[in-house]
Formats: sequence, structure tokens, C-alpha cells
Amino acid sequence: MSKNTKIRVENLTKAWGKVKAINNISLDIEDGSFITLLGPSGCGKTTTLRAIAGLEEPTAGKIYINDKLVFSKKDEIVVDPVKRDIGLIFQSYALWPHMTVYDNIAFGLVMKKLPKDEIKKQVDKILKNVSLDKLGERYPNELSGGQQQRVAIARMLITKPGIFLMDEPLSNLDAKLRMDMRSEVKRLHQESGATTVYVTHDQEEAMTMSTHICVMKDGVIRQMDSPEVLYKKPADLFVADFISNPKMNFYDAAILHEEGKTYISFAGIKILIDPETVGERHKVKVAVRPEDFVLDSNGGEFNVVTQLPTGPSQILNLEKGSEDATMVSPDYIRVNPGETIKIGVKKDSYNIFDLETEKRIF
Amino acid sequence: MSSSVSYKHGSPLLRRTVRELSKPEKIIGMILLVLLVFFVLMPAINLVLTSFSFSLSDRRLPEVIDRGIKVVPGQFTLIHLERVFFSKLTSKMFLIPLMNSAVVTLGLTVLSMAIGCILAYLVVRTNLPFKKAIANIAMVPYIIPSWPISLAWLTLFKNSKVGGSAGLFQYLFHVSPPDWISYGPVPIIICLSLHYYAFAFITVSGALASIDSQLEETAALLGASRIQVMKKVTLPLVLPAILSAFILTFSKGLGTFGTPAFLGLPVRYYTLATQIYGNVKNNLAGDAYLIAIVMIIISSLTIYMNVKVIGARKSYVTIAGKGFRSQPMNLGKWKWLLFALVVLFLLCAVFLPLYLLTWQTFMEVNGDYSLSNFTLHYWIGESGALGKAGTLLGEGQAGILRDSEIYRGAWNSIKLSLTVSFLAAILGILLGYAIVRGRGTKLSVGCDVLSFAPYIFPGIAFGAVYLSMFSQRMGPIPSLYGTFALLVLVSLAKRMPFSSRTGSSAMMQIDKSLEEAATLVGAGFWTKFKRIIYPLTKSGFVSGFLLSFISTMRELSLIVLIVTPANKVLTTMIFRYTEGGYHQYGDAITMLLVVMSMGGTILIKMFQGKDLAKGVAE
Repeated sequence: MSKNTKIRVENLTKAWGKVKAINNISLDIEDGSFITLLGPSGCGKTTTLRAIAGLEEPTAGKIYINDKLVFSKKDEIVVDPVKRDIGLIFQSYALWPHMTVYDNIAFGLVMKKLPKDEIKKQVDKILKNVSLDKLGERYPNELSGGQQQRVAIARMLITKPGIFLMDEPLSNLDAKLRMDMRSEVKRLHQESGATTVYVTHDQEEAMTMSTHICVMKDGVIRQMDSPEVLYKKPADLFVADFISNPKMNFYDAAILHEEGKTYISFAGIKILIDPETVGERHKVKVAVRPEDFVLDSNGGEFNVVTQLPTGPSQILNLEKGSEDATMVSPDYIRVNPGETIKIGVKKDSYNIFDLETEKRIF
Repeated sequence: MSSSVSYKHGSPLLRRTVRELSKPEKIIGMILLVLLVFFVLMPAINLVLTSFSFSLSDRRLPEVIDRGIKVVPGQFTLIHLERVFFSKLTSKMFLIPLMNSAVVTLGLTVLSMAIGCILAYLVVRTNLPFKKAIANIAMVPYIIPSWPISLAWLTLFKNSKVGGSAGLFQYLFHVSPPDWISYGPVPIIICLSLHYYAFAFITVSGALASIDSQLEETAALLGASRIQVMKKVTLPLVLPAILSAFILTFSKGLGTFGTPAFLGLPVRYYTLATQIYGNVKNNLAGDAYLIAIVMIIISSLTIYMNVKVIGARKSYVTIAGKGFRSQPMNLGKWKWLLFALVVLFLLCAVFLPLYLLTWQTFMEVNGDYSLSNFTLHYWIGESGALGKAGTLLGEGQAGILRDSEIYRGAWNSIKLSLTVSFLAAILGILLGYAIVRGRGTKLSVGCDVLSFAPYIFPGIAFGAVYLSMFSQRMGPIPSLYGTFALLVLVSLAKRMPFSSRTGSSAMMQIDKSLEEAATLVGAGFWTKFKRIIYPLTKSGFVSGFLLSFISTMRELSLIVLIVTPANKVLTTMIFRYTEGGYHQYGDAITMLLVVMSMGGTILIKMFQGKDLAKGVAE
């Protein structure tokens, strides 16, 4: 185990009867990193987070935190959550409705049996930090969603954990507030340097905030990489499809061998490739991101169905027979619905997947 | 891993066992399960065993004597089965009571559903004048016990055939009412309906109030007539509520004891519940319990039907969101006529019974309604006071407010109710915790099922089993015959279905994460209970407490067999006085009980109003 590993998960499994919420997953999380567990609902991301927190008891595997074994099924070791150096923000915030904001935040220190004046000093400081200093005597239901969120953050920070665990903390906020809170959470991570494990199903949230993203599906980790790698080199079709907004374009492509050269061909588009990439295959799956389509007089001819301006750019929905394409283009390209355009793909800006295994081969 | 060495005390298995057993929902669940097995499952088993075995008193059964069977107490026998279901006694002991129960229960269910639904619609959905006041008054029969109405009925319609003095009707019109008006199914159905309509009223008005009238308006906009809207939209939406009220009323009505006893026993009109009472009184416990088993089966079937029929459909009643507006239906010219009818009904159902009972307590000689017959003796008279005719009043007994026995009974009632409701409320929260937090485990299911089981036991049979079971030493428990503790135990066990429901629904409202947030910073179970669970369930706890208090105060069938002179309570005193024909005393104590029940309910209302304040609402 490397020196700066903060959390290590080894072969963790959690089964409810026959259903495996997480299935033999392993993870190394570096100290100070911001890692996001990303996936559709039911993929096991929250279960993984709760297992790290100690709220869920896995059915197999080990968890180390700060190089200390905190969970081992084989040895029947389960360390209490309070001794795991963690703080957790729940999706619902889990603020105690019968306690004031002040009491909610102070609770962790009361449990530590700190003297009253010391508690007051610390809580007041943190209230100021999250700009809630005037609202200490309010009850949670007297606060706005964003304020409740900040109370939850303050309550997590008060015990100074080395690890922040966050379970879809922004999912209950409206779009505008969510953007603001994203930077707030990122700032929190930068200032504290605490290792953060963040759960979300929102790929944009994951892309913008994380140092690493761990894409999960059906209790299995499909890929763990930096956002950039994940975007450029998705491990398989699922990851490629999940990390895409607007939707990535997928095509069944034929392999053509002409005059000693190898091409892939789909929707009237032909791309020259290295024959070693495809080997003996006759068919592959090709994926192209909307922003990687460009106007190309040698490309495929598409009808423009709709044109959706987004301000700095525009989204074009295109159609060619039974194939369609979503293209993001600069807004200076003037097209109208009903017109036809010819498009191609930017150099090397596509992925090729094996049809059988759905794994990326380029 | 060097740091993990510190955990390597003991074997993994030991650590696991300790950890599993130290989960609070497990410990609590196991303790509760043991208690439930002891106080619910064992009585149920005892009930079955007693039905199929000899007891000492079976020696005098004619079948035993005729066939020369040697009775060994505890030995297996089918003789009770034969007596109840396959002998010449069958029709008298089982079939006729079964028929009577069916007639009475179906009759009262249909009648009270009709009253309750119509009243609910009028109050919730129309512009009936003084709706709020009507709704509040309509709840009163729910608050007071069910049988005072039957006592009032006797005051009004008692005829002289059974003995004792006749009622007001005969006094006024000098005509003796026919038997079928004085006693038997007709008065029983009417009296019980005047109590049980409250279930339908409460359930259906709740469902009606939760219907967004936009749903109905949409149908009207699409061209549906008022009748069509009612048939196609409103009725299907409240149907689940109606069905569940129907089944609740049915199973409650089936087990009811007081009214059929007061209005049936004098003319030997037996229902299953009063037949059980008679059999137990005659030392025929085996026969009695077989009848109880039949009642349990019927109750179980109705509950099964409830789940089957309503289970899936229940959900959409609650779909309606919050901020909607309900458009009351304009009754037009019918408004005041309907209002008058409703007022008349409430007068008959609520005020008249209480008025008649009160009046009767002021009559020196029963049945003489003239002013010259007025006396305060039955309230405050001295012991041994002489009446106008020079005879001892009430056979020399003092008025109830001067009678130390009454005070003892009242104190016993209060003591019993306080103890039971306090313990029931605590057990309710603990059961809720074990059931909700342990959901999916066998322990949770066990607690859930066993705590609900007493619901399907007829109270009279449950009491009888407790009496026979705990009259002798049982494991660590000494004989409890004639003790206050036995009353507490049986009342507590019978309250469990309600307590565990209240506790579960309260616990369901506390999201698990509220507890986990405290676990994360090291709060143990006790801290979490004190600082989070209790504060958040407090209002449920207190209103559950008060509800238990009131229903224990008015409980009769459950304890009528168990109470001994040393620990008699108000309800059983009323039963004895009325049984013995001392109506003035019985009615006076009834009024005392009614006042106490109403006071308790007003307390609940006050408390609920205050506690729904800020903070906890979310």
C-alpha cells in the first residue's frame, strides 16, 4: 500500500439476500483527492459510501482508513463510525428537525464532551464560515434549501474529519443553487485538503468537481480515472454512454479494406484507421462525441431536423435514413431545419468498441 | 497490518456474536419477542390446548358421565369439539349465537357505514351549516363507551316482562313495548350503530378531505353530471377508506360484549361473545374457547380480505398533494332540512342517551318519571336513608359520591389506565423501533405479527385465558389470581396491536439518516433515544398514551371475568349493578365514567393542538 493512500477498499461485497449491491470491488483513494462514485441509481455507489462510513456492514472484504483496518469480514472487525475519521453529508441532509441550527452543529462536540464555552466558540466560528452566523437559533424547516445544505456542511466540518463523505448532497437543490454549491464544495475541498468521496448520478457534477471518477454499474466498478481520461478514453460502451451530455453518437460500423488501407465506415462517413486496431473484426461500434463532428465536404450527408441554440454554440439534431446524429457546432455555422449538411469526424476524436465485449479498442 | 493487531482479542466468531447482539434493534426486538411469546403466543396456545383437553370441571359433563369416561385433566379429548359442533347442544350453544352474531354484526356494520358515510359527505363536501360543530359532536359516541347507549335504551324502552320497572315509553303511553323493541337484535344493532358509525365517519371524512376537488372539477369539465362525478371519481377514490372502515367496524362489532349483554342476556339472546361469557361462567372453558377460535378465524378472514381487497388500492388516496382547494357542494333548498335531520340524529345518538341516563339517576323509584320522584340519593344520599314510602333506598347503599367503594373503583380504574397506557406507550415506541429498524429480519416480522395478534382475539376469551393461565404459577411468575398485576398484563397485551401500530408509524416518520447522523459522531442507543427518537415521537407518544388511557378506562369485556372484589373497576361495577337491576347506581357510575372519558379526550385535543408547533412538523 502506497504511503499516501487514505482509504483502501479490498474485494468488498454487500449482498442483500441474493442481490449483490456491490460485488467484489476494490478501490485505492489517495490522500487529498476528490473522488466521485458515479453511476445510475442502484449501481451500489451509496452502499459503497455507507460501507466506508461504517453505517453498512458489507458481507465480504476489507476496508482500511489511514492505514488502519476498520473493517474485515474475515476477522469480524467493525470499527465504529466515530473512530473512522469521517464526516458525512446525507442526501436528505438529515438535520434534526427538533434542534436549532446551533444545536445541530454542536451535537458532535457535545458527544465529545467538550466544555460549553469551547463548543460555543467553535460553533460560532463555523457558522460564520458558512455565512449562517445570524441563523443559529432557527430551526431547519425555517431555512431555505441552500441554507439547510450549509448547516449539513457545518455539522460535518465541526468534528474536523480527515475524510468527507457526501451522498448526492446537491440533488435536492434547484439548478442555479446547485451551480453555486458546486464551487462551494470544491472550495471546501481545496481549503481543508480533506480526502473527499462524493456520490452522484450527475455526470456533469462529477466531471466538474472530481480529481478522480469511479463509474459503477450493477455493483461493479467499470472504470476509475481522471475526468479527462474518462471522457476521452471511456473503458467501455456503458461508460462512454453514461459520460455524455449531449448524448454521444453510436454507430455500427463496417471495416473496409481498400487498396491496402483499412477504413471504418458508418453513416456515409469513412475514416482511415490503423489495421492493427481492429484486427480480424468485420464490424465494430464507433462512438463520436457531438462536439467532434465537423463540417466536411467529403463526409456523410445529413438532414437538419432541429437546431437548438445554447448561446455560445448550437446543438444540431441530424438525420440520415435510419441513422441520426447529434452535433454541437459553433453558432456561426448557419443552417436551417430541412437543409442538408455534410459532416465528418475530427482527427482521432472517436472511440472504437468491440461488439462482443463492448470494451474500447481505440 | 500492524494497526489491526489491537482488534485481535477473542475469536472472530465471538466478536461477531457480540456485535450482532449489541445492535439495539436486536436486543430490544429479542426482549420484546420473549415478552410477546409469553403474553400473546402462550395464551393463544393455551386457548387451543384447553379446547382439546380435559379439565377437572369436565367430570360433571353429561357426556362424560354417560360414557363413563375417566377424566384426566390435561389429557387430549375431542369432547368439546363434539359438544360445540356435533351434538344436540350445537344449535343452542353455537349455531344460534353464530346466526345472532352474523345478524347483529352485519346489521350494525351496514347501518353504521350508512350513517357514517352520509354524515362524512355532508360535513366534508357540502355547505351544511355549522359543519365544524357537527363534526365535533359526531365524534362524541367514539369517545364514550359503547354500552351506555344500551343502558339508555333500556331506560326508554324497557318493558315489564323481564322484571323490574318499565321504561319511559311505557310510563308515558301506558303501553308495554313489544319484546323485539325492548331486547334482542333490533335494539342491539341500533345502539351499537350509534357508537360504531364514528369509525366510518372518521375514516371516510379523512379520505374525502384528502381528495383534490380539481379531480372532480376535471370530470365535470369533461361533461360528467354530478351523479356521474360521484360514481366515477369520488366513490372510487374513497372506496378503499370505505372498505377498510367496513372491515374495522365488522371485526370490532363481532367481538363486542357490553351491549349484547345488557340487551340480549335478559331474553337469552346470545351472540358468540356473550355465549363465551356464559360458558366460562359455567366452567365450560373448553367449549368457550372453541367458540373463540371460530371468532378468531372470522376476524382473521376479514383482515385477510382487507389486505387482499384494499392492499393494492390503498395507495392512491394519499396521492393528493397539499395546497388544494375543495369546493363544497351547494345543497340549495335542502340545506336546512338536512341540517335539521342531522341535528335530530345527533340529539338521538348523543344527547338523548346521556340525558336519559342522567335523569334516571335522579329517580327515587325506577320507572316513575314524575317530579315528585326526584331524589339526589343515588349521587349523595346517606347510607341507610329512607325513601318517601319509608323503605330503604337502594337497599341501604349510599349515593355514589359518598360510597368509598365507588372511589376505590374509580381509583382502580385510573390506576389501571395510567399504568397500562404508560407501559403501552413505551412498549409501542420500542416495538416500533424493533419493527421498523429491523425491517426484513425474522425478529422484526415476529414482533410485528405477535404484537398484532391480540387484535383478532375476542376480549372476553382473551380475559378468560389469562384468568386460567395465570391463576397458577407459571415459570417465574407466581399465581396472579385476583391481583392488580393480572389486570395490567391482560389490558397491556390487548393494547399491543394499537401501540405497535402507533409506534411503527411514528418511527417510520423518523428517517434512518437522522439516527445515523448521530451514530457518526459516536452517539449510543440511549443518547439517540433521548436526544432524537423520543423528542421526534413525543407527540405520538403522548396521544398514544391518552388514547390507551381512555380505552382502558372503558374496557369491560376483557376484564369482566378477571376482576375480583378487591380490584374492581368502574366498568365492572356498572356491569354488576345493572345486572342486578340497580339501574340508578349503574347509570350514575356510567355518567362518572363518561365525564372522565370526555375530560381525557379534551386533554388529548389540547395537547395535540399545542404540540404540532414548529420544528417537529417537518
